[in-house]
Amino acid sequence: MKPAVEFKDYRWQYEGGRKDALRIPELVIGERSTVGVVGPNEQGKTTLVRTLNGIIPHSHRGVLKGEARVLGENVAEVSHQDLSRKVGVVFSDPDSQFTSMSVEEELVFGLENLNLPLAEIRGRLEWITRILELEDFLAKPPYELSGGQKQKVAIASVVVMKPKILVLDEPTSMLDPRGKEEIFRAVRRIKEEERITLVITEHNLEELLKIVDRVIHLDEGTLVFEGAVADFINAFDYSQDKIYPPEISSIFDFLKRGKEWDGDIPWKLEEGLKRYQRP
Amino acid sequence: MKRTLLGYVPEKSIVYNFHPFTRLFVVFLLTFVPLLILNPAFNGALIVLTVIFFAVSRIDLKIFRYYLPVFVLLFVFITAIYTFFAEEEMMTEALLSVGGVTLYRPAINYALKVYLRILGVLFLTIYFLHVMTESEIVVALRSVKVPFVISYTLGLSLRAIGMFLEDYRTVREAEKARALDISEMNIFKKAAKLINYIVPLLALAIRRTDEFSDAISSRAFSLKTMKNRPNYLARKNRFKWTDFAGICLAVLAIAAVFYLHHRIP
Amino acid sequence: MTAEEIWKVREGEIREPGIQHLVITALLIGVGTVAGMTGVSASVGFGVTFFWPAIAIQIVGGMWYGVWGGAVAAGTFPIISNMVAGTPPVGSLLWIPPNVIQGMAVGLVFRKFRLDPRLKSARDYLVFILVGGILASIPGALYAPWIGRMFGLFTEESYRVAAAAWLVGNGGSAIVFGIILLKALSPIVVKTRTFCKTLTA
Ligand SMILES: Nc1ncnc2c1ncn2[C@@H]1O[C@H](COP(=O)(O)OP(=O)(O)OP(=O)(O)O)[C@@H](O)[C@H]1O
Ligand SMILES: [Mg+2]
Repeated sequence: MKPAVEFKDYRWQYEGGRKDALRIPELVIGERSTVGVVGPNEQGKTTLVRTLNGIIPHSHRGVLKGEARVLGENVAEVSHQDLSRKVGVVFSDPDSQFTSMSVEEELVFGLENLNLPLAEIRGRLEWITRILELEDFLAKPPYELSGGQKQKVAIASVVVMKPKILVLDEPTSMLDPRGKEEIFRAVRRIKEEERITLVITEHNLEELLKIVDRVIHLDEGTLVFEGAVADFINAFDYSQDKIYPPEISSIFDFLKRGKEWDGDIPWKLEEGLKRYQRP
Repeated sequence: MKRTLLGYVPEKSIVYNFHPFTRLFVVFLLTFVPLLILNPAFNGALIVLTVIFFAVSRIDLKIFRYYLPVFVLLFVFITAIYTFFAEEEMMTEALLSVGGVTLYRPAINYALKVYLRILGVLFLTIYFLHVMTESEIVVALRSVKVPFVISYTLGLSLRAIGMFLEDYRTVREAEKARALDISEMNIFKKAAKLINYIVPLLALAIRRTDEFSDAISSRAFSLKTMKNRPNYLARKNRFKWTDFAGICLAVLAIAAVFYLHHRIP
Repeated sequence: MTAEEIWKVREGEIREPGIQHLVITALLIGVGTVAGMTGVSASVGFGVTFFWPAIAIQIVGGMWYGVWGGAVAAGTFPIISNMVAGTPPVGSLLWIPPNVIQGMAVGLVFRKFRLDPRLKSARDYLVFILVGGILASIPGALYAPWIGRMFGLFTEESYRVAAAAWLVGNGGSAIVFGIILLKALSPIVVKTRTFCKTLTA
């Protein structure tokens, strides 16, 4: 499979920063894969996200070393404008994602920026409204939406631009449990509908690991692990307390250390229960 | 009910027969009457007209209750000015005298005219804020080809106002929970307290700048490619005959008012 | 960081307006409107107010964000907050010149003389109070009663009282609120990419 993203000896330091905010010696993200980026606070997740659509280095000041290629193009060389057509990004604060005064305006904003014909805009608007069930919201202003709904609109307004890569930067970190659920449901729906490359950063692993195939682990701004979810969960250091693994994985790790279990560690609740019931 | 800038309009209202631009244009045109004319006949008529607007738009007239204190305060302020600081030539005919303070008929007459003028402006502005939504203002501007960077920044500003009002309420609720009720403080204490709201709001604004900018540029927006943008929402808000009729009527009415005002000083 | 480093554009450093400047303009209009609308402002119509804490938003706007905060936002948000107080935008347009002066004056002087927006020395304070508090409020103080008179809100006789009240009320809020905001937030703001070393970027 062709890679969607390739990093080689990549480093980024913000202007005024004391050390590199992000260091990625080597990384390949395959096209159409779903990747979770995990790491505690301030470890470069957002910096990675900003690199993926060229906001870094084009809108932030700092020093870039090495190379980051997205869809085959070097981010430092391609214009941010071009890249943002192919890489859609949603950030974590639902309030700052919503930039206009109605859901409908919000959804067509990106399409107008792409300079699409009106008929195409209309078709895409109807499409996204249908798949994410937004009919009742179209005329609503942001202050009549919950945080989860605002965030869903933000995701919709990016997906409607049909990017090749969709990046969600801690999309649920500022939401209540219902909002979180709403967002994960929407993401699953998008995965069914559009076979795009999906990159999601989170520090809550419970929900994340259910939908991703691979995991990237950042610590102190450095890539420390990249691989399949099963490998991540089995190689995980359960004694650290910077990121929280799924409850069920912790339980199995505990059992394993007590020699009560010697198989692989599961990360989905149903999976864990099924395995444990087996004699 | 549809929520507007300051109130609500029923789902079925004559307001929707008019394009947002028409509403904006007519109201702004009419405000020239009180701005330029002091004659109470015209301002009185304007106030009556505005009340008729409210009625046919089916906006609940009870909303005026909220503005009552403003109306009263203005009245007190203006009569006070014309009582204590009246011009020489207005102090000719004493109306009554209480405790060394004399009210003069010409001064008070004048004060009432000024009051009516300000009331006229207030009524129109309140009407405007009751029949427009934030996004209709943006639609109105875009429909007459105001540069996108301006209409977009204005839309974003209106968005920001709503957002900070929510934040402001949150901060205040938190204060209330700590039993700091500012409605009982005197004006100096209130002023001192106010800074406790402005600092966090401004800090939030600063923090959100990055994320807003990143979110906007992530949707392929750029300062350079704003020309010849398609305007999808314009299709939904087309000008109809009612708009031409409304605008023509307003222009004619204003022309008539200024003609009459010129003829009968 | 010294005051010199705060303002100086280094060699090869590209400073040009970007989306973040549109965004901060809009956000300042938001904060300014909310500050202008809340409870304690004493408005008498046609944009004439004697106590107006939002003036501090204009001042820090010009200090940190040049024309974006000091002219565009400072000129615009009073139009919106006045509207809520019943002044039509047409009337508020008359207010743009004094508002822009209020917003820009102290930021211009601080840039010109490389003073520290974090208010570190007595000189910083002194200039801030003189220019931001007093000088910048004078045009408004002379202008407000004049506008007021144009619409009959004030009489010839009340002109001086009105001007003095304006100067004390607005100049006072500018000084007190301005100092608090600059002390609290300048250290953070000067490090952001939106901060304007020049008047536009
Ligand atoms: N715009 C910026 N300017 C300067 N430094 C920055 C900027 N954004 C982030 N940093 C710094 O870069 C480092 C990595 O931050 P980043 O935001 O990428 O982390 P994160 O993993 O996304 O954190 P969080 O979980 O808090 O979102 C931090 O030390 C942070 O202070
Ligand atoms: Mg982050």
